[in-house]
Amino acid sequence: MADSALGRVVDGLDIETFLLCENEEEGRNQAFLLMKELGFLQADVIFCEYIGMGVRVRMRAVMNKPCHHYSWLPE
Amino acid sequence: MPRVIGVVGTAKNTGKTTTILHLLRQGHIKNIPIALVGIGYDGEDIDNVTRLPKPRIFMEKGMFVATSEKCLELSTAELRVISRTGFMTPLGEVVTAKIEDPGLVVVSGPNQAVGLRGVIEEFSSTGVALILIDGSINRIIPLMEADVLVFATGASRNSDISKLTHEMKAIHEIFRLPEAPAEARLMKDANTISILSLNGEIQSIPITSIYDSQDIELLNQALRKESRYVYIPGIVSLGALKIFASEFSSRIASKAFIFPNAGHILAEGHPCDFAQLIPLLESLEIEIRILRSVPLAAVTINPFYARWSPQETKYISCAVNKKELERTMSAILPIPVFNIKEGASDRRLFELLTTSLC
Amino acid sequence: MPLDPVHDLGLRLIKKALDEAGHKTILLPPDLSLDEILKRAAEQKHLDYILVSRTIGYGAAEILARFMDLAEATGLRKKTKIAVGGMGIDVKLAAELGFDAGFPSTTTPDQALSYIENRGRLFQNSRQTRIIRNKTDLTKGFSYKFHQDRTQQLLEDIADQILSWAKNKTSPGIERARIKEEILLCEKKGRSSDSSKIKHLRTRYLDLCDPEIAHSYLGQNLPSRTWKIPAQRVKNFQRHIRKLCSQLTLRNPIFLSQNPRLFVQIGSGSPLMDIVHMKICEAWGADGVITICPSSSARHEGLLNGLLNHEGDGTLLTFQNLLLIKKFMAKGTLWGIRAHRGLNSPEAVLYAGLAKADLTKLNFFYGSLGAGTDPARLVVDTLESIRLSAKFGIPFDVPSNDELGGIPTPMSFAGLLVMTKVALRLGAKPILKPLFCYSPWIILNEYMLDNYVDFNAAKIKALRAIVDAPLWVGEPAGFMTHTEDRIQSAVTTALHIELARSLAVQAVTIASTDEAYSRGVINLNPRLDSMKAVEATHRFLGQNQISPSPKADIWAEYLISKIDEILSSARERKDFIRCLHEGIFGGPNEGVYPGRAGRNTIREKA
Repeated sequence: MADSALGRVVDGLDIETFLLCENEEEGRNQAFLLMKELGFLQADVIFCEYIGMGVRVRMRAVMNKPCHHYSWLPE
Repeated sequence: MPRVIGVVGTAKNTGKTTTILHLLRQGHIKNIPIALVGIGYDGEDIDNVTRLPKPRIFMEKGMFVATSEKCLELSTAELRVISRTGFMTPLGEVVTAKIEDPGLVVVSGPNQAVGLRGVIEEFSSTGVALILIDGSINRIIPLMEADVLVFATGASRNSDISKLTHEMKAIHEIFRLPEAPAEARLMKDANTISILSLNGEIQSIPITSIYDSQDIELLNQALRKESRYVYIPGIVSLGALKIFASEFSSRIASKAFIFPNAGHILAEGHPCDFAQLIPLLESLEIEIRILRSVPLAAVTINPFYARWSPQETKYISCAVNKKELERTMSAILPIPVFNIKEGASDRRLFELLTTSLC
Repeated sequence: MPLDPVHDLGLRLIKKALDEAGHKTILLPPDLSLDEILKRAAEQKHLDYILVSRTIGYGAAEILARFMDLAEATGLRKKTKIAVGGMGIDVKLAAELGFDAGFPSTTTPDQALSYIENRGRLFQNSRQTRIIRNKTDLTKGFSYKFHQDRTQQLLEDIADQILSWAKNKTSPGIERARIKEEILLCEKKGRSSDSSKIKHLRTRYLDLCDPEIAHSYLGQNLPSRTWKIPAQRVKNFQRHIRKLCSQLTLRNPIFLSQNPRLFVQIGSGSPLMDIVHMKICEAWGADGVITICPSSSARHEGLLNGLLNHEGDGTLLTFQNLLLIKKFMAKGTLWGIRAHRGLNSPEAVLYAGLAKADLTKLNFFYGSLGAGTDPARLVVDTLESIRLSAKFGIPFDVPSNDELGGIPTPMSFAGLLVMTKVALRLGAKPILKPLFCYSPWIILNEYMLDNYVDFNAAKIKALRAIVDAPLWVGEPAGFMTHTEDRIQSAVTTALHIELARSLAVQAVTIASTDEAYSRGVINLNPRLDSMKAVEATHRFLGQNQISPSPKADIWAEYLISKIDEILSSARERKDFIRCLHEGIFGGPNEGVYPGRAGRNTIREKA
């Protein structure tokens, strides 16, 4: 098995939260920044909705793609 | 009246903003009061560190800008509003402002020629000597208010150097179309297609543009032997022009089609096809003329472009051979070609565009 | 006009709205060339607007920009305004492409109509689409008539016993409330001449408090895990939240004009965080908020003072905390403040009245048998609280969370009915609050072995058969059916709430998906999980009902007959307080014991 806990994630790591911001564009940008701060340089926005005061957002960091090497599988 | 320079990008990332920044810097160095106005919206980059939107255009104290109200708060430069133009865009009213403290500016201005004319008039009363218009080839009509144009093109438009340079040549040829003779200017205020005959008589037909064979037929019915100039205040579609070249050439031989300016030809969007048709039409004694010529004085080139990599699921930066690009473009065009990034301190472009000012 | 071959549904909906408003519209077929569109436009004598619909894809932006260029070249822009809308369109892109207006894909036909009718003035600020919610009186239209004379009589007799027993009794809680009312009214007047009077009143108040409350009242020596909120933080918070709130829009309530009203419970420990949760829940469709205070504060005589944070299971009930929360509350939001347990019930209702809350919560059965307060003390206090609620015109709900302690439903409901009758006698307006829950008694008797529908429906049917009164399913709906799994939790909440709607109750309280998470504070996003689930489930069902099986009727009749037995026993006993102690409404057999806080603190009035 993988050395790290993160390496044991089958495919993706979703982060879901509520970020305060003034509009959806700002919310999206901050969500990407959040993932970057957490060490995930590549992330995707699965869901982002702004109604008032902030965005409800789900971000995904892809750990393993189906057609590539898997971090949890010894080569 | 200030000198108005239109900077036209043929696609995103062709170096238009770089060219504008270069010209702003040159103007600032020479202490020329300089203004910037956009006809759309020069969006911000996303700062890679902060993920915050960051305007791209840096302006110095003493420069002027025309932008929409909502863009004032997006700018980091301190702007003092001088006048309100009354012209509305989706981002609010277009205002003219002076830079009090240098910083980054989001430029979004009037989206039509009439609004741009208003802005130019506003600036002329503030002592501005040079106005830069931030434009795009897909919105060429407002840029016809300029005194001179510079096109920014590059591999982002087409990474095939041959096709890219041929297209620029076609564009230049369209800009080089001769002006119509003085007598044809009698029709310049016409709102619909007007025909001036040799005996001075002007007829009108109730359409502004020619799109299809139906419109062509309407025109043909109005044309007479003595008809000499056909003024088209709108456009002629490429398809219609092809029909003229093939089916109706005898009827419109020895006549001249006159457009308000080169923009009315370029707006259709097929410069190479149009440019190919022009000599064909001329050989059939059908002249294409324009009322007001706006010279295309120079071209700037950017060899870089972004290519999508499916494996890496992101865009990666590529470049064509910059020397080959510059060489080919220079050979094919009778006007100067500049690579701004390479010659950042090169004053030649600025001097070329502002000959009477320096 | 759609520039996209396939997606002209949005335009069709907009055309419908424009046609219905009397405008003349032409819908062009999709996939026309730019030349064809321009020619068609030129042929119109009067053309005020062109609306372009496009799903953004490769090359789309260039086509749109070119369209605007051609529109200008052909003179079309002189007479016609042109707007673009659809996927990926926003105001900035519309500006870049040269349009007069840009509409995102979430634009409704009404908004497009508004643009046309406002002569092209765009509603840039989404506040213009703010929905104003009006407060609902949950008790409106109910006669409170008991359908069976026998039940009516039983309850009248029990109410007589209670009221006569309590007639001349008072408590420190009641006296503190009276003093506090005077203090607050003096403070409101703000006259400097009253300062010594206030000081005197405060001394009297503190004499009636527990020592730890008295010592902490002026802000020093606060109890553990309680802090004054720094003034600068409050200032910054107010400024910051005001700024964020300026873009706030209230969505339509999830159930629009039909019932039930949707309530959330908020008590993070800090009024500041409570406000953030409240604003966002308001925006996302909550109709009301119930402020939760810590259970520990119920055991002390006296309430603390000032803007205070508390690390625990609720936000401290101080007048200043409540006023701050109220300051940020939207006009249409219903607000409930609990007063059903502990030694400060009358003062809590006083606060609710003076802070202009809409609802309070009272139940001396639950408070004494399930929440630790001495029955006699709580009865006396609650009667005063009921009088105060009537005085302030605030209805109160009667919760039946005592079921969760093991009390059988019939006993809990008997209590609800007694409370209802007493309230009516004192001129107040009660709302019965049956619990949709998977309670111990229900588990033991296997009433919900197959489904959660029938027995919950039976509860509503039983109450309806007894009295014509407003019903509120709480607190929250689906109690004990939630796990920590977010999806499971959201779904069970949503389905319980749809059941409540099907049974036409007046209000529901909604859990968050943190409901089963007991180790920390309820977070914001989990609240939205549940609200979204309710919204989606309601979208699925619409006006359709979740219908119980005939079992629900059988169980409803069973409940009614058991309630009758309990009320009869209570009346026979002729000593209401003894009833509470002897377990007629729940006792050791059911796993509950009368509370002790406040024992022997009642005295005769002077």
